[in-house]
Amino acid sequence: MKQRTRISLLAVSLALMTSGCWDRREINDVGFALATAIDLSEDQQFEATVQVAVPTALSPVSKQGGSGNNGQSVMSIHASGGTIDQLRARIQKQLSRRLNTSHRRLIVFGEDMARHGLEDVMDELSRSPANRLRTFIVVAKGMRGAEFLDTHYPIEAYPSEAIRELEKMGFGAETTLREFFIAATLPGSEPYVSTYTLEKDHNPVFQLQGIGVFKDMKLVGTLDRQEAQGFLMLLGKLKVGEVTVRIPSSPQDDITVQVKKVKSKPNVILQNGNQPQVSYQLDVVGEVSENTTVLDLMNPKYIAELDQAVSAGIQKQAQAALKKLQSYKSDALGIGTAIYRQEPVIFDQFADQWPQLFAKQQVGIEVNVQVRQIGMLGPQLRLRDKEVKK
Amino acid sequence: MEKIGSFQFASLMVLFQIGSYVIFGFASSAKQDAWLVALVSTGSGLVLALLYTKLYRLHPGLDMVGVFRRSVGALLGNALGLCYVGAFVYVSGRVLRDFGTLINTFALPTTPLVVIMLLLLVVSFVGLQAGGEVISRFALFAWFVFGLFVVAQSLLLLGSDVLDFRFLLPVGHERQEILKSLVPLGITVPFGENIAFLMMYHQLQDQRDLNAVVFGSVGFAGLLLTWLNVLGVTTLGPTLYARTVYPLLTTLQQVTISDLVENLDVLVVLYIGIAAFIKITVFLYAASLGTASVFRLHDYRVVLIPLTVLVLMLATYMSQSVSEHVFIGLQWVPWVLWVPLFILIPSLVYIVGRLRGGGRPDAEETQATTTERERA
Amino acid sequence: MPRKHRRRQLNENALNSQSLDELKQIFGESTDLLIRPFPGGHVVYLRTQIDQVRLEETVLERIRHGFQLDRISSAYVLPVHTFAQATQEVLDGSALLVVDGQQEAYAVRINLTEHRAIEEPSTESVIRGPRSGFTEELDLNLYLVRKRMRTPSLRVEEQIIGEITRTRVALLYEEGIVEPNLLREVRSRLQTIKIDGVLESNYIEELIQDSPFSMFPTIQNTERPDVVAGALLEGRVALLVDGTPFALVMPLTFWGALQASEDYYSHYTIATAIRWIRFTFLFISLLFPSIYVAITTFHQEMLPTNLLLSVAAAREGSPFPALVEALLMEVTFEALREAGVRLPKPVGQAVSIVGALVIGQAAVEAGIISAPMVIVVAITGIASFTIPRYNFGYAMRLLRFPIIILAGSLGLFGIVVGLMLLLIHLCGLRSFGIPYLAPLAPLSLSGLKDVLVRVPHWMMRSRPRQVGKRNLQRMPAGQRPAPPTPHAEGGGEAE
Repeated sequence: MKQRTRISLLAVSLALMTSGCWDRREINDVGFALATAIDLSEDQQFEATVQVAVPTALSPVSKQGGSGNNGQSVMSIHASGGTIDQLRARIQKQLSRRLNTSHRRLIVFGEDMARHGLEDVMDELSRSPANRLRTFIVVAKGMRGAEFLDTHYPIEAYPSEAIRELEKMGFGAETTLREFFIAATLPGSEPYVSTYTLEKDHNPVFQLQGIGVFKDMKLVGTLDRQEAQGFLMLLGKLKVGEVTVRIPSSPQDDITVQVKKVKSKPNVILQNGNQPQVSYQLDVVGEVSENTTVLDLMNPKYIAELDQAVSAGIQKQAQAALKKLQSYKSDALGIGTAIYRQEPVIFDQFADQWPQLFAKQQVGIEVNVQVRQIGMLGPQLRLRDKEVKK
Repeated sequence: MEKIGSFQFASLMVLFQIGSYVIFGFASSAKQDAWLVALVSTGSGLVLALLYTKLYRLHPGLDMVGVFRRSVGALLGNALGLCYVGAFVYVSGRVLRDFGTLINTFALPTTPLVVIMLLLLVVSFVGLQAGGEVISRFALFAWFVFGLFVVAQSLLLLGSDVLDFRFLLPVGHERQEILKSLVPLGITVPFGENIAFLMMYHQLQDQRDLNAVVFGSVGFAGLLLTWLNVLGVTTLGPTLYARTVYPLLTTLQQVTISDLVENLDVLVVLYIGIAAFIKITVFLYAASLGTASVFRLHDYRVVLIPLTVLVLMLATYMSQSVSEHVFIGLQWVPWVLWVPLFILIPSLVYIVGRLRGGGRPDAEETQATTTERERA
Repeated sequence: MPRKHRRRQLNENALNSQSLDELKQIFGESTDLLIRPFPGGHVVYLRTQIDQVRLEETVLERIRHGFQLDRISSAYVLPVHTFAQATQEVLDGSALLVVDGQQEAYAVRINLTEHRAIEEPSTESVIRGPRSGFTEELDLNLYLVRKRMRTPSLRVEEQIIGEITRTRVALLYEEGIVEPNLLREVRSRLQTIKIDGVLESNYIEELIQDSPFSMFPTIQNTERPDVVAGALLEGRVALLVDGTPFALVMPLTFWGALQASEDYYSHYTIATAIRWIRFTFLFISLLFPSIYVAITTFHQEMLPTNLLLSVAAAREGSPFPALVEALLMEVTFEALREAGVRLPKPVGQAVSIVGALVIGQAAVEAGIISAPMVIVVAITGIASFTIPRYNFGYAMRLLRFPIIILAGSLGLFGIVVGLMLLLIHLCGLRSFGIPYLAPLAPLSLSGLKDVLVRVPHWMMRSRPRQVGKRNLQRMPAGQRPAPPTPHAEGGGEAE
């Protein structure tokens, strides 16, 4: 018995001694890519820019107090090539540390690249085990991704962090690789991402511009702020939004309502046995954020009017979004999927023509708004008593 | 002869059956209906379990080879026994290879495969040297850890806001895929592999618990598989789930708690380590017991070293690439190994054994006395 | 007299006139052996072992009043027949009265019993609970135990172990509760001991333990009589060894090694919480440095990005790989700890821990070690202090090193392999027939109530199944306290 223990111990120690630690990567020998930008160059080649984190900027013990490399917390590396893997190899050849993408949280596509089509890049991004499906994807509108990433954003440690936080706030698409793939492969769906621009008037900073929709992995169009909001409401994903309306009791001035909660339910009914009828039921809860009228909003009558007005406003936004989508023939809403889930046999019949059918699909939208809170005031503070219309 | 307590035996069986899923997933090609396949497979698993327990009860107290010998004659019984031993060794090697590849892909990309496999095999070896009782106690402990992990994973996924139960719709639509997953795979693995336990039933301390242990563990493992499939599909969506090579891993990657806890997929190493270890060890144990039984050896530990080396070599040389490996595993192995070994032969042996008059409760003998008698 | 050291042959011959000379021979020229004549015989004694005062009183009496047995009033007198007995009595501190012409001698038991005062044991102090600890005197220790178990069913079986030291060892058990197999096993193991000397209970421990090569203790040692009493109540067996305050208790399970007697003297919620802290810190003391090394070297993706970059920043300056750093710091810390033990008590503790941190800090500032490493090592050190049983804690401390090496070469996989091997070892370990990991594996639900949590005393109605099978029930049902019911009819016994 003891002999066997010896044999096994020997085996283990042999295995360890020969181990030479093949896979050991000291943390300082690794360069962590935080964000990648992919663009199309003029000659239809791919270009990539990788932002690598520079840890010394954070080090409390660092000799120069973090200003060793002009206070930059990231380092950008560019390369171009015919395939994504070529890009990767070329970038590694410029980086003194091993590239590691497992902490990459953001991928930016330049608009040109997005319109060209993302099929080529998507495979590499998902096959390699180092890639995380939780990486956010955005499109930089009207510019190249590289430019976009190079923007300086002081409040966050790394510029890509800023985009991530903006995405997570909830008025953008919040699309990760996973969602992109799911939307691209699910029958009757198309992917969508947030689009960003740079606010250039003062120091350039990121600005969420709208939502871009894809068809067959190509960017086919964008929704502007209002349409994007309507779109997200139909999806039930809107976390922050606002609607400005005028109510009959005060047709001159605006009241702005912030949307706090949206619940959206698509319904599919079959007509004539094989014609799907789609309708959305939106339930919205809101809170008044600005009141420029002279009304005292404590009066429930005004609130009722407000409900109606906001409902109409949202209707408009949602319809606008829908129409835009239909013009692009891109079912980013996933109506097709809803049909598929409920009546898979029917859907299978026209699955291939769905984009065209989608463009013509009648969709009913019913909005139900409840403005539940009005903030801390009834009427405006600045009014004298007699000016307030109760 | 060592005895194994009921709860420990059950943990061993449950972990064994979950084992393969943890690496490669189960019926993931059925996309959103994978869980349905799991459920149906559980049903067939129960039927198989019934077959195996009935086979055992023909000659209770004997191990598998003993049952064969008494049912179809010494020569044929021994021959069959050796077949199964060979199969067990092969499967042990397969699982070792699977696991090694997984670790190689994810955790330790440049470490040679041999080293990884060797280390795991050493752990199996040490465990088997210590005995079946120790292995089952280990299984009990491992089960606690495993169960905790599953609960944690479920809770974390629920809390990470990534589950979307709508992905389960439409139900039952992918008929083709469902059927393809069921035959021949769903009905043979993982529940067919339980036949290995036939080698160990006689070690169950409280034989009255046999039914509870066997059927309970099959049912529980099946439910667990179903649940894990549900988790996987609702997290990754049906297409992704079907296409990823390692579903559990990819699922775990989605866990995140307010950006703090991320990229936990490396913990899958622990998950899978336990599962792989149990599977390899049980198969190796069954193979050793079988060999010892065929050659009328006193202690299975004598054959342990050669068998272990055999497993390692098989694992190293059995295929050149992951694709080839998986291909063999999906196309060739099920029809050549699983169906005959797990379904056909046991049924035949049972029928013959029944006809020859087994199954009398007073004919109870232990493995030891049988060996004595047959030696005389 | 043959010079080579041989086993002492006890001379069972009867006493005779040559006995005095033989005595002198046997004791050689030891100057503390005194043979004083008195009218009618001699008195033989070892000056150092005897209570001088009482000697003078009794001897004086002899001399004055002539030798009359019935006049010896205040001392215990034993007739002695064989030479061997005579020798032993002298050694034990009796005054041997050899009467001319008689076959018998008389041993007057006036041996010295000097002992330390009963104080709180230094290695097992509690916040609440008795503060008496064993001393080096076996008789005093027996006194302490008997005082707590005032029943005749507490059996004490004394034997002598050790050819030269002839150490007295007492086996204690509670008849009616103890498991007969266990008792038999302990007895037989004690019988087979053949050793020249037993200076401490550890000698016996190492000679009777189940797995001599395992570093996990399978026999418990304690300085506290209440621990011994508690163990006896559970059906376990205790060994008291003369010359050391450390008593042995067997069997011991993994969970027993994690318990402190204080668990039973504090409120059950506190005790349960502290138990959980101990479990957690047990893992930390074993695994924390390895996990740190594994994650920062192999699996950087597991850390949250910000933490990762902080660690990377902190490690920019240090020249050593994480593995080397970890081993260096851990070894240094252990050395400091050991050194702290040798220093005088008030200084020792402070110096070792503070010293480690100060050195660590200096090393960080010099750029030799990275700051996270110091933190890791410090936490690990603190974690290992939470383990109540010293010998168990040491096992964990030692095991830490191979696991660190495994982690440094193979990352998490290495840790998993190491843990699995460890677990297999533990699963196979037995302590006098009880599986080491019981009641968790094999599973015994009733046993769990004192392992994972500490249920209130009124819920501990049965003894641990493993050892107390014979007499399971400890108290009847219905013990939960409750305020009196309004009826006040016969008191408030709620169930």
